[in-house]
Amino acid sequence: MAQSRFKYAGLWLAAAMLAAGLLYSAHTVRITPRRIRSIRQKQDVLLQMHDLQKIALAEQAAVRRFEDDASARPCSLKELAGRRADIRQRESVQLAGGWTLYRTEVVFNDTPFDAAGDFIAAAEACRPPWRVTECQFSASPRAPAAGTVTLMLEALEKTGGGQ
Amino acid sequence: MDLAGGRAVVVRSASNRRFETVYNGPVGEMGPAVAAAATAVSRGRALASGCQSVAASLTRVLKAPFASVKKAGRVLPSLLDIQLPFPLETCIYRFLDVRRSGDHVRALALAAQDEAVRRRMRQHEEAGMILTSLDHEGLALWTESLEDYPIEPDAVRMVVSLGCENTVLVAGRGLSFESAHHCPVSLDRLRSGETAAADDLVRRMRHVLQAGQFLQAGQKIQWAWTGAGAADEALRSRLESLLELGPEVIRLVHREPETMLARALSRRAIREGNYAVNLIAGDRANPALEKLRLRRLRGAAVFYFALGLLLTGVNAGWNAWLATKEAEISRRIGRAAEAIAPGTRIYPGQEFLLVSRAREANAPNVSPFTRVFKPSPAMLLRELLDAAAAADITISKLSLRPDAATVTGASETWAGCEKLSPVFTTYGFMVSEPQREDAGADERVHFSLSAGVSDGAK
Repeated sequence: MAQSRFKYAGLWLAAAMLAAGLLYSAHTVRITPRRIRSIRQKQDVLLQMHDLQKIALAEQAAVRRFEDDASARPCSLKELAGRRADIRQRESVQLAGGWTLYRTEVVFNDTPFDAAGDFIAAAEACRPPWRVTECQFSASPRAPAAGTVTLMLEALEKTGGGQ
Repeated sequence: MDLAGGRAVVVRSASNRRFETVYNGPVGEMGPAVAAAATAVSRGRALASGCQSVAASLTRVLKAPFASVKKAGRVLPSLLDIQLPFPLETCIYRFLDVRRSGDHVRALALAAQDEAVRRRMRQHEEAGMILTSLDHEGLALWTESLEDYPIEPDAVRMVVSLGCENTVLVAGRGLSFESAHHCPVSLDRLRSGETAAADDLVRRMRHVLQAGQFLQAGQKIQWAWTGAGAADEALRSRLESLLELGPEVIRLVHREPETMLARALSRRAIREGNYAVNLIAGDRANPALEKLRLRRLRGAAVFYFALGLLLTGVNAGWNAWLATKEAEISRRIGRAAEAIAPGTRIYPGQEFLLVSRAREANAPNVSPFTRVFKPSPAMLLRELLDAAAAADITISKLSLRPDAATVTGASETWAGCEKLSPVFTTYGFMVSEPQREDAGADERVHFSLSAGVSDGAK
């Protein structure tokens, strides 16, 4: 009798185990599409993060190149332009890491446009470089390809000790 | 085990298809192979099936005048009682194939006297085999015949088993068993050429055909020979000529006819199908059968437990794998976020948004550095001036900003002013159509050209 009861208990246990397995399977079938969707979304985010990381690495490399030559100062625009230019510093912006961004306006009057081009090339060749962000050429009615040239240049200089 | 006339045929089978004849000979000379089978049965590892002979049992097709099978079930014992030459209480009986047929219920009744069943079981015990089931000879022959040769639904088949001790006739139509009959004509008498024996048998066969109303015009009849005498072609031919079987009657001879009944009993013990029957029940049931039932129960329990365990394991494994994969991707996203925006507090699920915001906030600190490594506006300026000189364009005004540019000037022809557009395009500017300005005194074409940076190029 006891043996028989034990055997039926075994059958019940097996039935319970099978039911548990089937219920678990049903649960898995129900949630798997959602989880796969979630994984795919995360994979997409990871791809976007990798793209951002590439850009961030390029930015970090750009900053490092300046850090490598942090002691250098931008060359003097007055010396480059000579007396013919009117030079005014417009603003200086404090950046992170102890860097300062200088923006300077240079105005040439009655100057051949080509000469202004030469000035820009010389400024950009400096280390650290001056970089033209804006320029305006207004030709003189008296001479073609010459007139007033207004340039906005910017340069970076390490002025603080931060990283 | 087919036990008849002092001979035994023992067939062993582990499946529905493969049958092995363990013994075929006199009962007294059964060897250790049968003893081993008997031991397996006593241990609950095998089933042993014998049969109640047609001679010691009775089959009748009963018709109860009810449309309900349940109601008919209540009156079937009474209907059987009327048909029996002995009291129903002294019998073991079964009702098989109970089904509705038109406006009544049809059932096949099988009955054997209790004493006859007891005697038959004792015969098997004396032969060394304690049976777990006692089948019926006629039903076993019928189902095995259908197994060997499938039948058309409207055909009539007469199975004739020429046994050593006597001859058994089983008749049926389509898949339905109709009746089983016994003729006390031994094979030895038939083979001896005794005319009376053959005449008796043929008369009995004709009677069965007529009583069953099988001899109707156009009726397809199949004549299936089995039993020890079925292999004797001369005997078969003699009986067929005496029966005057016409050419329209299909003649069949079962394969290995001598062991067919034992094979049938073996198959029916393994596979419970239509007409399955066991006359041993209640107190007489073999304890080995209970052992086997419990063994099967245990096997089923183990199988279902293992199946449940497997399902649980597979699901747990699959879900764990998904969770691990998701966690790994989350970790990689977190690492990437930390690398892109160090020190930023990142909340799970908002990594891209928070990192993008952090980058936007830090853009003024970084963009002056990256601008230096992008193509310089000075190069654009130089190329514009060169292109203007080459196309004989006079520039009167030129404004160049990081995201917009305008050129005002004059050229010899209208087409000439368009030569500046490709220069802007090379540097990622979108150029609009040149606008014609008022003509001056110099008779040149005056124009203005605007260019802007597309959102993607910014």
